[in-house]
Amino acid sequence: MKDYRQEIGEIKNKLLSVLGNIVFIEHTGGASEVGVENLRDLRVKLVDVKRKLYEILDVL
Amino acid sequence: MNNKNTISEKVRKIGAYPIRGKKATDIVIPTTTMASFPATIGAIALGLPTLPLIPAIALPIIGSSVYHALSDLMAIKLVNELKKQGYTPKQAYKNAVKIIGSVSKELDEFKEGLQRDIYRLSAGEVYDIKEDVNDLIEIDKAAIKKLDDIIG
Repeated sequence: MKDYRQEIGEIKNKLLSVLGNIVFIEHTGGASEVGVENLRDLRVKLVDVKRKLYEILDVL
Repeated sequence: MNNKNTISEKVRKIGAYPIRGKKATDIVIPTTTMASFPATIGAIALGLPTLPLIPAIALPIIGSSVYHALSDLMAIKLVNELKKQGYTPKQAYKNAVKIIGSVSKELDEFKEGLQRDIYRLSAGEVYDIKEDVNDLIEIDKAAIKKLDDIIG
């Protein structure tokens, strides 16, 4: 059986890294450089991840 | 705990603090990752060349409020450090997209495995995993809110 807590810890690390990168964009005022449309696309991906996380909660 | 070290001391040195109800020492990262602190920890963990120290610093203080973890003081320190390393917003965006894609895929696999193994897990294990998933949801929500703040 997989070590689920280990696995989720790794996913947490990655998600924090995504958050950190967004904070970086915010604090450098880099939104215009990145482009609003790109940031919206990223948001869509994050919402999709949230949906998947809730689905996992349903399994639990 | 044999092959892992806490990073609470290093976290305190950079001005971070544990969240109420959570001990900084609760969360540990592998020794191999520790060795590189505070350099490009993410790069080692994720195989990305330009993803510096954010994950390692945020890790020990994740808890009830991700915003606390990314307090202004800390964020400024991080941003300055990353700028010094030549990190750009475009790189940050590209890495964020790449990582979120990987997370999405891993969550599919995670759910699939869980559906298969759920009856083999103890009540305590299920509780712990639930807590972890709730943490992930909080991080994800914080990231979405940050983006909303940026996009306006």
